[in-house]
Amino acid sequence: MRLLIRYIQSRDKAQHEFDGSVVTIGRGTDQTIQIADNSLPLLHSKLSVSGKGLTLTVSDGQSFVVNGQTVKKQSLIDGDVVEISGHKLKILSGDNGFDYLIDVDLDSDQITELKSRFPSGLKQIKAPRRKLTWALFLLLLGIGLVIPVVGLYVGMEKVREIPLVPDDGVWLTGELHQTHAYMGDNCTHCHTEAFTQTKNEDCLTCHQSVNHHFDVEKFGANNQISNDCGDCHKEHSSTDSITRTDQAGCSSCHSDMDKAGFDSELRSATDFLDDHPSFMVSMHEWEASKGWQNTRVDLWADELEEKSNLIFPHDIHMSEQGIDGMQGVEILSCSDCHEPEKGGMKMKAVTMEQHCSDCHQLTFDLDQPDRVVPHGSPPDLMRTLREYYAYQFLNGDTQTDASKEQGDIELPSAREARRPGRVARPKVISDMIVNANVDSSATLTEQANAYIEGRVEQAASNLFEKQTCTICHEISKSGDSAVPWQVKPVKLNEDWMPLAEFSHGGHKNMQCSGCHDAVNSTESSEVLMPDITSCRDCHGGEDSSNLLQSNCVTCHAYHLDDQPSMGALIESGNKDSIHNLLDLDRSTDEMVKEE
Amino acid sequence: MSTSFVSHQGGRYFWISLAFMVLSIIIYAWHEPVQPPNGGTWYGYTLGTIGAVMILWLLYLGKRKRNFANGWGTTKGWVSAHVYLGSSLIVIATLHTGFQFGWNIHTVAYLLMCLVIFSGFFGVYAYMVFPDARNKVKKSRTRDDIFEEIQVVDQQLKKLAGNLSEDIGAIVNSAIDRTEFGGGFLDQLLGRDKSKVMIDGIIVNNNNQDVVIENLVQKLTLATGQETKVLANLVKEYGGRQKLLGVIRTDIRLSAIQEIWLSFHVPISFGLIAALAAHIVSVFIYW
Repeated sequence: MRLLIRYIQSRDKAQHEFDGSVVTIGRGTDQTIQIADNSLPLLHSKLSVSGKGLTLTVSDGQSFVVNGQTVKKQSLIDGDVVEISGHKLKILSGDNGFDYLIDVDLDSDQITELKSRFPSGLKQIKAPRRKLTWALFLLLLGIGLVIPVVGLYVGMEKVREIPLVPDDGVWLTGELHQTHAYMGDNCTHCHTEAFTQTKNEDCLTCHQSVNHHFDVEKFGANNQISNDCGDCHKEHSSTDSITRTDQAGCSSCHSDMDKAGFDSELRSATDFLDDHPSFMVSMHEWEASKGWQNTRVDLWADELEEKSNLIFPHDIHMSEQGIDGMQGVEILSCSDCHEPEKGGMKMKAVTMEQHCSDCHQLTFDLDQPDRVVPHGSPPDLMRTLREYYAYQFLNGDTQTDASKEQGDIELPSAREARRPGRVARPKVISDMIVNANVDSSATLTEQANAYIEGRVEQAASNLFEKQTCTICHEISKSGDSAVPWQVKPVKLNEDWMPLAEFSHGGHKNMQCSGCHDAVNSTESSEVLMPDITSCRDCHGGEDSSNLLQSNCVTCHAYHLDDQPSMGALIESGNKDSIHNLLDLDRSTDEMVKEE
Repeated sequence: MSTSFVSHQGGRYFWISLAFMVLSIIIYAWHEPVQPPNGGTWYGYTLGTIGAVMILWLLYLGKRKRNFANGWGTTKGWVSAHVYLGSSLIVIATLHTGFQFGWNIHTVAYLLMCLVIFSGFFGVYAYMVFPDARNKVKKSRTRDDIFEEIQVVDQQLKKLAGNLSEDIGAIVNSAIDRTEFGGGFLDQLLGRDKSKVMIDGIIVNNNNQDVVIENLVQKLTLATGQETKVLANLVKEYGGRQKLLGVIRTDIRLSAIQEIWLSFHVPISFGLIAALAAHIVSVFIYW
């Protein structure tokens, strides 16, 4: 088949010949008839010979118009006009050896200029910017806002059960304290009511045993400072501490307790360095009728005198030359008697058994140096002596019978030495009995009593009045024949400043003598507690620049051990306290009235 | 115009923003909350409120500054305010966070805000640098001018090719018809050239029109007589076409880079609005 293809508008190439079986039509430059129209595919259709005529077949999805009718395949005869997207192809019978003549009349409006053929700016691309915008917007709104809002209405527990719903950590505004961190996936643990700040009940659900700050019976709980746990405890900011430590929180009341409305004996304080009262100490005093009485005394007061009833000169024990001990001269240090408790706050109690008895042994019989009387109870002491000498008498009698035949058996002796002028101590029981001036005509019981009481009186008066007890204790006669002496009760002060928390462990790098002038203390009545000036050598106020910055809670606790627990106030049903403590708006009575 | 919004009215908004930022930092350093600084202190709430209002206002400005000559103020003024006040948000919002960040919706909002601002910085840079650069590449012609020049060359080429053998004509026509530029997102951004040419019935890549020129030069070496002259002319003309297309492609690439930031700036701005809403509401749900 030979064709002549003529282009009606073309200026540079009016016509070309074709010799083949299939004519291709499309936008592609490799097509037999090229139509540079962007709306057309590279290959739009194929024109092929069928019998005498021509048949035009389009590619998938395309169509053309023949004589006004839209078709996909059509046999063409002379005179037919094919329209492809406005471009006209007129089929004419050929001559001069051509089978057909095709006039191509391109619609110039449709022919695309070079510059318009391809998108040449971002705005011409159907960029998914709008879709991306919506996707991002809805995704974030969905996760961030819709989930918690839906949770408000149906409960977060139900929402969390839905697959792919993240846990509440998504809304966590900051790190939780390490003890609360495990609750970070569930906000409603603490935030029980939407759009309401965490309430005290929410805290007290777990923290029931936290104690109140002051005597609620005396002051009531209706005051501003203890109404909200959140006043002092701020979550979501630190893993270490959520407790406010600024002194302003305390000084809002403690700058003037009267003004704050508290009839308190506490003196005002606003800053450790600049405005803090000097220290007071709690002192004990024994009153026979009332027992131990506690009084608070200023450290600088004239009447300051410890009345522990113990005789103990620190200076002798801490002498640089040392002191006679069991192993010869010993040089003692503070830590030989004073050790911090586990945790390092207070010092362990000093006890006779642990700290004194190595040197101060309660022996009573030089010949039996391993025998000691018990410490702490005169009746026990007397009973021990009686039992000891009764046993000696009993044992000595039996031995005497035997010794009559075998000769006297020597009692074990600790030492032969004796003080000049004293006679040798009797070594056999018969001698001792003779020495005791027991009437040999008396009954055995009378002999025994006389012997035992004589020996006990001798040993006890030695212990109580001369050698042992009286070294440390104040002894007086009791008038009781069974226990003729009494010891004034002793109580060592273990809590001089019960409202302050001082950590000995925290100060272990310091010299004890820096605060306690024990080396120069001759009397146990001297109080060796340091005053505030001693602390101020190192500790300043909250804003100190050249001293350790110290605020109220450095030394003082807010929740006091001797006050009732906040949780207990709820449980006890103390209505006023609860309502005030928990900041409930109205009392039950008011609600009843309103109804 | 390209840099003037930067120094609009003596940099009025620059100084306002700078003063605003410095003041915020001073107050931040001065304030002593009873807890570590965060969005929940009095200053945190203050900065948060200011920041949120500013974000909404800047979003409005983003729209407003495109409405040329409409209402009060000049477009230049609005752009200047948008840029400088937007920049100051980095300081305002960072102080609002108290430097507390985490894997949560709140930090997402902050990060989105930063992305919006930094993409905006790129936009400022783009508008300051690329228009000039493009103008230099185009030698002060418009892109349309260059396209017209190409069209003139194309006609010249086709005319010359008409005088040569059919296969040369086919190659030239094919190269002209299959010349491409621009295209999709990445094509524009990277200045990809997907031009092709059919040589001996095979369509091959014609990157930078190199293949067709090489082919024509090859044919030139084999040409004789009158053909040599025409072919040499054809090669020369095609070289000119190659240069013009190169300019077009560079211009498209630069203009794509110049505008690419908006494809991030705008969607992320709306993401920010969603995250901001979630941030604010959730904070008060779980107060």
